[in-house]
Amino acid sequence: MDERLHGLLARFPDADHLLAASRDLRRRGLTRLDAYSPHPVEGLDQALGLSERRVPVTALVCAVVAGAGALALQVYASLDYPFNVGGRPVLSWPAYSIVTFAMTMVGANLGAMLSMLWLNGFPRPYHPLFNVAEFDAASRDGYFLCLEASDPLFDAERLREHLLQNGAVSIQEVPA
Amino acid sequence: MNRRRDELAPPGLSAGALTDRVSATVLGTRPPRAWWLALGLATLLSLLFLVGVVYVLSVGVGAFGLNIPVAWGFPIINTIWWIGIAHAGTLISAVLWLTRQDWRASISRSAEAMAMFAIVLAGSYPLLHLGRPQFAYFLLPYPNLMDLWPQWRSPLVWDFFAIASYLLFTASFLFLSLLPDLASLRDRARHRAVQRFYGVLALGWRNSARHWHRYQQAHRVLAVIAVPIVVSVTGTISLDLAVSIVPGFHFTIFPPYFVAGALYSGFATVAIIAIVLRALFGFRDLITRAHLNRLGIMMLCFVLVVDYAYLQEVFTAFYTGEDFYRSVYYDRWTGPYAPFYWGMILCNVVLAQGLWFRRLRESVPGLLCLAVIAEIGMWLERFQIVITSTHKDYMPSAWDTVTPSAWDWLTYAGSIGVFVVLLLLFIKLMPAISMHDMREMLHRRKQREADHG
Repeated sequence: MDERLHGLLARFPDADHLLAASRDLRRRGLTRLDAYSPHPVEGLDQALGLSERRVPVTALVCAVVAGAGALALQVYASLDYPFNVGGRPVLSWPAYSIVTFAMTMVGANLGAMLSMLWLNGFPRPYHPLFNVAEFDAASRDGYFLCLEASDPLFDAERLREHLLQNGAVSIQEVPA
Repeated sequence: MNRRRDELAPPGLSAGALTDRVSATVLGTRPPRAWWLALGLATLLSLLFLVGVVYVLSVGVGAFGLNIPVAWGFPIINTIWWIGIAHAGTLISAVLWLTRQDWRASISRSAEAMAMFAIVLAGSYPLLHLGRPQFAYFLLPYPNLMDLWPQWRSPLVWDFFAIASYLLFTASFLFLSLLPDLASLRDRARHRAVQRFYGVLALGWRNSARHWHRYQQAHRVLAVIAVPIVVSVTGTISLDLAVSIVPGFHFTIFPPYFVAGALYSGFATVAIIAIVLRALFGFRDLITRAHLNRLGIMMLCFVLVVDYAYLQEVFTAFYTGEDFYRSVYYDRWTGPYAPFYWGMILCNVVLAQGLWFRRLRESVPGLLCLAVIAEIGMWLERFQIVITSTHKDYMPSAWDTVTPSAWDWLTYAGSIGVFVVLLLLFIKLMPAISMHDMREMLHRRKQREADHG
């Protein structure tokens, strides 16, 4: 295996070929592969075995924490400085619901946004794929599959054939 | 229905051609001459806002036409008006996404940007209206030597949290939707500096399936929380009025009534922006008459709810049997502000019925007129709610009328200028049409065509 290789990058003519190739190579036991497409392709995440749910779970946890925190703060503030307005109860909880709701939404919002950026490894100024000129098409109309050299089953010669069988239109090596 | 007439994008359009076309509007060297002209005029108009703000800050809120009992004049009218406009942006980008409406793809970006700038302006008015804006942070719960807390039972504190969380939400949503498009621009840019600019903003987005997987999850979370946010922000603002016991404010119908009005004026703004984009960048085939038709239908839905609320309000006022409530209505119909009430009825009840006609909805001048009528009508509605209710409430000794000052009008006109400047700069620096949404839409269309043979 070439030490200085990031992987093999294959381009496919359309989303269906990319999907079929991802399924096929994944079935052959490859784990370190990633697909690139100009728009989300339905079924591609299952084909690559992506099933993590960390983004929505983080959002839920953050929402609950932020909402509970906001409610607790309002209760604490009302007890810390009891303020009698027209004889209303000190703990007038219905009035607290709006700030609690707003802060719950803030929690979900930040949780989803920041966990998405964090888990995707952003900001990431450099990546070996950026050195491939053709890869610019991934944000236009190109469908790519990258088999990374760090995969234990990586064998450039054999994989090249599998890619061609799956209808790859071009294959190139990505230097690390 | 005629399928050809209902086409949302040109039949043979490929994802590549679309990306090239939209990114050319950003990366191409010369913006159209009309863009420069509009930017110049809007900048002049926005200077009025600057002058107004500086003047009001230096002499105090007395520069506005306010008095006691009418303590809320233009600043609150304009806050409600602007925040209402923002709501349609959220509805288009989130709720229509959840319900899988393909027609949102080409107008969602401009709607999101519109929402963003409208909230900024909506938020600036309460700050001006504070009188001492340097103390705005008193609304925040922070540890202080005075041992004081915000008054959590006060709608003004609710307002602050509602608007601030909405601002954060809209900014996140706008950035999320821009992220893949920034990567497209980075990959298309040919100058080093431009590549750097978009490259830094794109944060290293590579269109990987892993990115898209988490992106869609985050997008779904935001879209789902957008649903309660859309109905709650203007609803919360309406509580500023409805929680008080002022006749004319104290109606339980206020939250849904405000939300419907907000969406009506918001869709009208989206329609105006869509028409301008068509003319400015030649996007007539991407933002088609079918889009205009749908925007018109949305306006019609919400204006009918608004009309129902007008009727319901009058009914409630008379059904309560309270003289104060009835007299508010006699005053609205015949008092010093009657022209505003009847102007509102003319715009929102009479002229708005033009939206029933498909021919009008699909014609550019027709929809443009209806949208401008909607903006004026909704502004008049907020005027009559805010001003007529307080100027004549319970005690005749406390009654008074208020006349908007020149500074009211200047700041209001100036804020529209600021909005236009921000939007024009946005559509030059960022893609005015969401490229990844359009690519997904075209992909789905291709699959559908393949399925149907």
